[in-house]
Amino acid sequence: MVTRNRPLFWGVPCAALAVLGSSLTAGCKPDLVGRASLIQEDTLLAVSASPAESEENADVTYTSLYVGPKGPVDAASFDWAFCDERKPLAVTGSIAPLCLVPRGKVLTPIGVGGTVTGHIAADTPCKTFGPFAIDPVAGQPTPRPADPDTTGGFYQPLRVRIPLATGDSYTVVTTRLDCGLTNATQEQSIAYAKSYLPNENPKLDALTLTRSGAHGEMVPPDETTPSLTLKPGEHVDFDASWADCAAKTACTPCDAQSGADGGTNADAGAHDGGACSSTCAAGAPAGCTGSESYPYLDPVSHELVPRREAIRVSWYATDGDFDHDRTGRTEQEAEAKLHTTDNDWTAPNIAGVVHVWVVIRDDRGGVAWSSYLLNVAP
Amino acid sequence: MNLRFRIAAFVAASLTTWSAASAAPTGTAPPAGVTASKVTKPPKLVHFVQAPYPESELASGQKASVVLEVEIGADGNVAGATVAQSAGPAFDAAALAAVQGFVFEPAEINGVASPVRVQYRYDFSPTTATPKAPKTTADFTGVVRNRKTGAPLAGVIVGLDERTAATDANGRFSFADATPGTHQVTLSGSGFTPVGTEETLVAGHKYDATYDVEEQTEQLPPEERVDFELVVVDTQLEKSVASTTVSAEQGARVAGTGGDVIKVVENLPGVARSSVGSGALVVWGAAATDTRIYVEDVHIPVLYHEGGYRSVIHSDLVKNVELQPGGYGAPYGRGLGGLVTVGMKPLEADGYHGSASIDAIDAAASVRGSIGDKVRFQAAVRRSHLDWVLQRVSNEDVGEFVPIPKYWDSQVRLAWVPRDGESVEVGTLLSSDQISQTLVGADPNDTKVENKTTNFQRVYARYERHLDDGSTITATPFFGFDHTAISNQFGTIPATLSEDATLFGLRAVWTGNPVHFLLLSTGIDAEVQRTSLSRYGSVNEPPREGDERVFGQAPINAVNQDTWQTTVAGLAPFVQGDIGLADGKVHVVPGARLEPSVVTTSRRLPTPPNIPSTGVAREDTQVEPRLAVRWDATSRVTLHGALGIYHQEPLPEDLSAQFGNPLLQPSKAVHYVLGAAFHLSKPITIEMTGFYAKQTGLATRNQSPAPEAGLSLVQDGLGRAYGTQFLLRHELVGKFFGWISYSILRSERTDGAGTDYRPFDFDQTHVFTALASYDLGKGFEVGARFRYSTGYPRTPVASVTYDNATDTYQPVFGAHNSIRIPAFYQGDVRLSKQFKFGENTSLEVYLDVQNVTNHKNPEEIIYNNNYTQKAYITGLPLLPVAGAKLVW
Repeated sequence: MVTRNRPLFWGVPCAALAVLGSSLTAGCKPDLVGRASLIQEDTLLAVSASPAESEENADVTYTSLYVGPKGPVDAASFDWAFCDERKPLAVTGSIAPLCLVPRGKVLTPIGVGGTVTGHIAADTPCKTFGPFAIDPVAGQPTPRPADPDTTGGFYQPLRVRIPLATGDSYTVVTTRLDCGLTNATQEQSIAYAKSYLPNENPKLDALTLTRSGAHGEMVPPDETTPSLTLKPGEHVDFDASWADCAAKTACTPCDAQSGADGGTNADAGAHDGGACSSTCAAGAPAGCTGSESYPYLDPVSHELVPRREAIRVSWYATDGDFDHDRTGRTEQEAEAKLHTTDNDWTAPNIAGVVHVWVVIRDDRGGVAWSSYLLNVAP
Repeated sequence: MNLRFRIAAFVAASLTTWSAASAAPTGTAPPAGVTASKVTKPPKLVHFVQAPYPESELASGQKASVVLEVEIGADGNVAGATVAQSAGPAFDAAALAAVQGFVFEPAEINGVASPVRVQYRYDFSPTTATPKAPKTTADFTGVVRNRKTGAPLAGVIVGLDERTAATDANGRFSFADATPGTHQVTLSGSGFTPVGTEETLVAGHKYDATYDVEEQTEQLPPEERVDFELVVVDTQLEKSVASTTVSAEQGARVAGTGGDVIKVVENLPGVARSSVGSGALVVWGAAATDTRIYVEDVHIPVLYHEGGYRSVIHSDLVKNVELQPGGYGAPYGRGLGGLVTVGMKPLEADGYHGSASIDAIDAAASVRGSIGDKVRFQAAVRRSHLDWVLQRVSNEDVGEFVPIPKYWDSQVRLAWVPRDGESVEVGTLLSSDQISQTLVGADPNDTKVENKTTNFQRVYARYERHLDDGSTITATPFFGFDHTAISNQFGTIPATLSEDATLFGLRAVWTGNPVHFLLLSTGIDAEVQRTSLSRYGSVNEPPREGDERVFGQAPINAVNQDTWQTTVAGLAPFVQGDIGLADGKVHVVPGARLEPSVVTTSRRLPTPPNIPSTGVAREDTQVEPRLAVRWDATSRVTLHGALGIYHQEPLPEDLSAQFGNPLLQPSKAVHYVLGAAFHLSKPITIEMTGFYAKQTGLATRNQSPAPEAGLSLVQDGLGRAYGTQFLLRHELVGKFFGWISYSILRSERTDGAGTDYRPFDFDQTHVFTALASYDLGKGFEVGARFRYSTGYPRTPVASVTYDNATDTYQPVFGAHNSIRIPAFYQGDVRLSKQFKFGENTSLEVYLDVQNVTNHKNPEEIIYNNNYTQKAYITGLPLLPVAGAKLVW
């Protein structure tokens, strides 16, 4: 029998409370003020890696989205470094604590600035952070491989140190590693190699704004002067959309195209309009910028099964009030071809220009964003 | 030096008639009209009581004789005695006390049994002669009191099978040299409805029982009349050094327990207050899984249903519940922490009875009866309906937001009593819990699903026989299944665990007196558990003790999978002796337990699918010496101490090659206990016990950034707990019972080799409980409980990092468990009213109001999204729960 140390959710006292009626249930869990979606200070909202998934011994460019209450903020002081140490099993955070320092033996500096390019090391990342065991010290047993995430991925961590007046602040960024498939049969490995494409960063196709009783209006990204004006306190509905990806993996490697199962490539290029052969030949990313399909070796059934990326969208504004800080679509919803998400927003009561950022993430580590301006005037 | 006396002569020097006017109140009056009488048959002593040579006279070494005038009732019992020829106060007192236990065949006057007076001479002589043969009988004494007032009752006829004795002016009675075995004890008297119970006597022992009877002193209407009630308060001589036993009658009346007898364990000294909704039983700073739970001799995995609202055994079956937080004897083992034993009520052949009860949480019913004199049965069932209630009293679907426990339990007992002192019982103990909750958020990562099912089933047989020589044999084989299934989902991160165990156990114990000064218990304690497990999900979910995390924090997005089987088998012979020294004032209880065990695990290392895995097996033999000493320093002061070594095999879920370590060895604990009990008066006792428990070989997470395969857990953890507990207890006498318990302790752990001690996750420095219950009369009863406890330790958030992949802030922790949730305090009140219908039927309605001051007790710390603010989730508000119980 298993006894969990602490309740998963804090429900039972609320449940007991509810015996007296739901009006009292608000008393058991306090409301904490502060919203992630409201930008009140300089904040690093996101980092995008390009490519979103990298092999070992390859360059990756990291771009940051650093903003403040008045809009984008210069990120020239950002200090980037790869973390070369796997975090212990007992650590619930996303990086080894030893890497949260300005300098250290387990850090490999990348550079300074808002955008940097780092080189994923050869040989070691898929051992330290991947499915291959670290080379054992002579006479010592083989170390335990790292555990994959829920999509089967392994990640090279890096940390961004942001020097602030109050001290250093750290952000953890991970880059998905293409380490191949382990613990699979030969047939599974072949099928995986034929169907797996490195992850592609998602992309917001469009952001529409719908006023009460009106049709949706496209919100232009990256404006310097807002073209849309809202009334103070006006309630609107934002709708973010992304690419409607094909149900099957998009491309078959070139050397497999002539195979007997070339039929699996029926959806090739459905999302990017290109032929499979051209994408492979060019070595260009062949993924999709929406909820991509990918093969996944189910650790329970040991079957290679197709899966879909879940998509999350984070909403930020320098003023006003979003209903939700984040919205998105689960894997099951994505499977049902749902490729939009919406969020209500209440414009501030004070006139002015409001910066809005919408960050889109897939659950394989892909990140992208778009920036918008809205004018609030009577 | 052994001091003995002998009877030099038994002389009926003179025999006189005893007039009816001088007969003792409890005696039988001689036949009316007897004026000129003739003794047709002299009295004959059939039960003799030895008087000890007074200790105060030992130095003199003198021989002495005391001549007594003994009044023998028509029933043959001694109705009174006076000193006719003194040998000094000490000798006189010893002789008078002894003669009270004499039983005669009554004298006959004119052919009719009649009271008479005889002279009797006791001769005392110190001697170092050859030790006498072991005593093959038991002495059974006691007192009968008015339950409401606590006043002794004179003239009550106490029956021990065929023998009878009347209580004296102090309410005392005595039966010397009773035959070992199980006896029917009856109480009757003027205005009494005879009541009875069973007592089991062991040769060579003295028993002192207290019977409280409820005497009707006023004429009440039938619906308010309370029948005479018999309460056995204390007949048990053997008691662990640190032990608290609560009878079912008291336990059911404690405020805040909802009438659940076993829930009273939470209020005993040494037990940490569990968070609302957890029900974890933390005893003397040991993990909940380290405390063993037995119903009679049947091991069960949990004491409470999920959430801690109810125990898993219906209260109608429970005779008492005993908590031994540490230092317990050799008959039990396999746990580093405490021991909870639930005693079952003996099944009686006294007609058909039952109960039905209901409150806002659940409904329950029980029935018991007999088929003839030899076959007896009892069945009980309980099912929760809290989920049903919430759906109807709440404006929203609460079940979608909070985990509402659903549970049921059932017990069936069937006993065959072929003869007095022998019984065979078979029974089942079943329990099932289910929690299901889905929390849907706009953010896919905020969608959380929790499903948990826990079941256990036990089938047992229990053979019990009290032999003619006073020894007792019990054998309890049991068989059962445990099932746990957890299926959680934190956004995209799963955490599933399935655990199915098949369990076989056998406890067989012989207890007897091979020599008169030794009570020996020996037997075997066997248990075999075969468990099949499957786990998939985050490596740190479910969390372990010592994990640094904040409440509500999602597990890390690193998942793995394992399927494995384990077998843990142990066959432990044990022996324990209770050596009575210094005329029973000192008891030395040495014991030992030999625990050979075999542990197998199907997978030594993580292996890819389709590759046969290699298992691992190990054998160990642990030797566990135990020792307890109890010394009745004075008639009011008892000192006690104990020490012992305990081992516990690793949990099956910790033997995973992926998530645990198949090579884990047993953990070890050493307990040291020292304390004293002060008997202020008959119902009031103060107990104080200090303890130190050291644990080694605790399984902790591997702190290495590159742990070896198959070593996700290592056995480097240490633990220690030390403190003192106090208990001021007023037994149920008259209208009142209650206790005040206070524990001050410190429980600490390390997280691996070379790390410092830090507070245990469930450490509570101060735990204070005061409770009382008072009978207001006319069926009304009021109870109250107040609890105070230090908050659990938590680890502060020193700083945060932003995780770009999940768009969340992750805490960076400060010193481990260096802050605490604010202290908890709460008052509860219980008011009940009992309505009587006829002789055996009653209806009790009660209102149990928890947290009468509506104090917002912090139960957990929560943070905002970036950890710049924190607040407390609070526990129960003022919560009235009404219920009713019909008993017939």
